[in-house]
Amino acid sequence: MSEKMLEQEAAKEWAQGEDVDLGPVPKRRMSLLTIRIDRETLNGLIQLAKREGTGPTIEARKILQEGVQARIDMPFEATVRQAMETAKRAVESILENGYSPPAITEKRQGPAKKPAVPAAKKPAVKKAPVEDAARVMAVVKANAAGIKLTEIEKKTGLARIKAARVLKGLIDSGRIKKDQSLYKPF
Amino acid sequence: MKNIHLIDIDWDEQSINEVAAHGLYPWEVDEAALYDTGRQAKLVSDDRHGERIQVLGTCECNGKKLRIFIRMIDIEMGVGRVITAWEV
Repeated sequence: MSEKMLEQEAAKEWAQGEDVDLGPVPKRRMSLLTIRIDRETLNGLIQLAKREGTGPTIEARKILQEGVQARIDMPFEATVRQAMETAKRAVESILENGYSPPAITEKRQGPAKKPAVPAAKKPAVKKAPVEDAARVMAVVKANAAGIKLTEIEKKTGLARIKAARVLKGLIDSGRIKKDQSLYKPF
Repeated sequence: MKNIHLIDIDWDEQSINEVAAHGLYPWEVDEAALYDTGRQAKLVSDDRHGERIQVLGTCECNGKKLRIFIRMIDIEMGVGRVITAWEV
């Protein structure tokens, strides 16, 4: 059927059709993203969509939205907190049960080992770098307009070189940005 | 007037190929069917295709006026699938 005939037939149908209210235009406007995926994944997606009673693009969008949101919802502070909890548990376990290093099977050459320090008298554990990063991040976040290294140094109590090293790490990981001499959160 | 909310369009290979055969991209159809505030729609049916929605809408970015045929695949969620579409 030619396009002209199609259009004539559709126009005729239109004249006979029942008016439909499609509702308000969706507020959240979607942008189009084209992705290439292998046939196997696409088939899996189609199967999944069928099971959920939707279509493949709706299902793909749902998976993407959930994945992106989960990654956004896991802020840096939470990651740091999680790492600190793990470290704290490890330290508590060492203080309670003592630390027994793994057995060394090969005989070591070199100077004699120092006698082991009893667990209770072990020196205090140094602050983990993650804690430094969390402190610096908190100070930068509290100063959205930007903060200088000297101020960060004062507020965190970290040595300048250490603060600078932590800041560099945070910039590299995209947590903060440097605008001239000011450090700002993203 | 019948109320059938159309909030989303699900695209499968068939519908993408179908609109491509008429020289259209899915995003053009999306714009005309979902986001054109002046869109009009009618419920039409025939023996060959059954019941479907015919939408007349304009693509905002290039002004193309499109005639779009949609079959609702999930009325509750407002999801439809494009059967065909062409420029009027």
